[in-house]
Amino acid sequence: MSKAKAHEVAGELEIINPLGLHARAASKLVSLANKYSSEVFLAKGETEVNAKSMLGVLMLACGMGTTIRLRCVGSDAQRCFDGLAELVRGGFGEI
Amino acid sequence: MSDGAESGPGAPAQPRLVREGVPASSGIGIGRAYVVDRRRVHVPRTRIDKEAIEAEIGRFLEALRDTRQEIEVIKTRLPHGEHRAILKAQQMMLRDPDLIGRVEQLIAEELRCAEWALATATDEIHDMLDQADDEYFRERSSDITFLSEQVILALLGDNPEEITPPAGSVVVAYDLSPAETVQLHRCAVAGIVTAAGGKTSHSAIMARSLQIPAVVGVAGILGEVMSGEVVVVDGVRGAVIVRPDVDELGGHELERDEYNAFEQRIQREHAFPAITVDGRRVMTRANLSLSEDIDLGRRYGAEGIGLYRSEYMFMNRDALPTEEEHYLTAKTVIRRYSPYPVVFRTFDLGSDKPSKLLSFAKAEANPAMGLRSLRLALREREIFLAQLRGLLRASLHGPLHIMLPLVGSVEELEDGIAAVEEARDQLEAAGMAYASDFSLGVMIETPSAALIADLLASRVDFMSIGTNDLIQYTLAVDRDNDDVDYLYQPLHPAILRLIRSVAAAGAAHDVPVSLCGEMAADPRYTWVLVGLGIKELSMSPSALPVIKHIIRQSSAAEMDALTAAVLEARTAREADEIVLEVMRERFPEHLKHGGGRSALVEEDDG
Repeated sequence: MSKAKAHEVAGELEIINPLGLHARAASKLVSLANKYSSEVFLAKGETEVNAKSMLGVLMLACGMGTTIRLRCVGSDAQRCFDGLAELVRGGFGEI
Repeated sequence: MSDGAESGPGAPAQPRLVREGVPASSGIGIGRAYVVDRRRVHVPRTRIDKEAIEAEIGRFLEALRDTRQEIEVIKTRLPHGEHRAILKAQQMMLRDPDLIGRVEQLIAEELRCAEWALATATDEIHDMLDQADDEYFRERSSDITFLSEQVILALLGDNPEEITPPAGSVVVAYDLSPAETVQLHRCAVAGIVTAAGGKTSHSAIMARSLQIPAVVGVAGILGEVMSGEVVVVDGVRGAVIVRPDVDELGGHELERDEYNAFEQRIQREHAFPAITVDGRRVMTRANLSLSEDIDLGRRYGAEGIGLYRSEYMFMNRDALPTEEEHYLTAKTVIRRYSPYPVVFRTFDLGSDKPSKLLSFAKAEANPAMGLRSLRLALREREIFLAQLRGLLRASLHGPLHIMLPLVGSVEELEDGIAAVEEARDQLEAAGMAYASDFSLGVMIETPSAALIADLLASRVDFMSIGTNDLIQYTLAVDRDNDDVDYLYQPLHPAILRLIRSVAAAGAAHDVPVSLCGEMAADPRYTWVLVGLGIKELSMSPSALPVIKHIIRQSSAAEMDALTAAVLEARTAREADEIVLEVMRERFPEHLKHGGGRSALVEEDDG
């Protein structure tokens, strides 16, 4: 990890692909999250999980229409957030 | 009972047994049972010494790595497709930082051995997933059990012996992991029966994509069959016959061979249009909802979607669908099926399809007669308008038909039309684009609507008969009630007369009449429905090739003649006999192998 100050970038996103965060979408999200050095968290309501964890993401059980909160913490937080947000907003390439 | 041990011959003869389950993958398989019972992996529960923590964690990580590699090997043996994605997701679970972290913690802090720690962590995940209100997420728990068992076996040094049933056997198991299902494919097994699982479990999905006949969810099957005994797997009807009589076996084998030959023949011609030999054209469309593969209709030769069940957009979720979502969903379906039309039924919720999102969750004494469907939509006006706006916007992308369900009177239809007009005005005011040439239709599913079809017809562009509700309301019979389901008679003279008069009203007003209930998918009724004047049939996609084939092999003249005879019948039984005699004679295979009779997918959310 570089010495750059840890940034935090967060925002809300809506799951718009019809099947929600099912296994294939979740694996895309987790794979992408793991490409960044930032820590990545995903929250639905009160529950926040590690977005680099397949089981964590599955456990959120997000169907279509769920609003999730994405939080990236680390030196590449902005790039990380933008990349993941694009994936979610694009419906995981399923629309 | 152990893995596939031959224990059949010599055991006292048990009687023949028939069990029902979920038909997960179509086809008929016959073979000797190969019983796999590995539910009980023994998990040692021992404490380790403090000094051994590091070594124990190392042992755990190594087992994870080994298991990942095993999956990798299986993956390389497979063609690309859905099943590969499933295995990839499993590999990711084995690399999961949360899971690994939790197990390491249990080892380091509570000094549990790796097997025990992993079993505990897995149980915790189960508890979480079991609370999900979506069946899809609940079923993922079985994936995690399999993985955990695989890792525990690796830890125990018990290399999970591969299941190696002899070719042509029927595998009977509590459940199968995706990896095991693939392995079975390589062993050329004849069929699969599992005690657990539903239509969306991964073993079911894999069996379908590998085309192995399968029946799942047959509770208690493990205690009822021993390895070596003959089993018939009927993936068409969802039946399992254990120890069939010797004299019936030949019949099942014949049925299997005929089924395979019939399937191939019918499927080859699925794209040909349904036109009778004397030139009557019947449009055949698919019923679809969000929970199903959007391409199913295309794959089976549908000329558009005759019923899109939009209510599935309201189920298993935490927030109401927005206008934008209605728009996106409709746009996706319309583009997929263009230039054919797509009929969107506005949300048909309430009664047997509750949604926790709508505030009217009041317990009703008689929900089938209660606040449901269009009544509910008119009460929840904002939600209804959001859907209508989304649909109207999507109409820019192709031929969109909006259909109002459960209309009982002209006033109700007018209220529905007023809502559509209001949605249009809202779009107009907001400067949003929509196409003005959409068409609006009404579902005929109450006796009242059927009897005033002429009055309704003058207000709409099309009508569609929903036979499931029409029969229920006309005959006052709940077909899910075992005590009265014998009274659920599609060919009851009352039903035939109602369908005929709706078709006649449509013809008089130049309004097309379609039919989208389960009757449309039943090969016994094809002639009668077309004979009654129905021009469009919409059904479960897998039934399409059979029904289209029947129409192509028939003449409109013989359909009309049979219908005239059936209309003379005084009772449903008489009508049934008349129809069956002719249809059995003309289409023995179609009736036997039956297309989609049991394939209507209702609660099959994936």
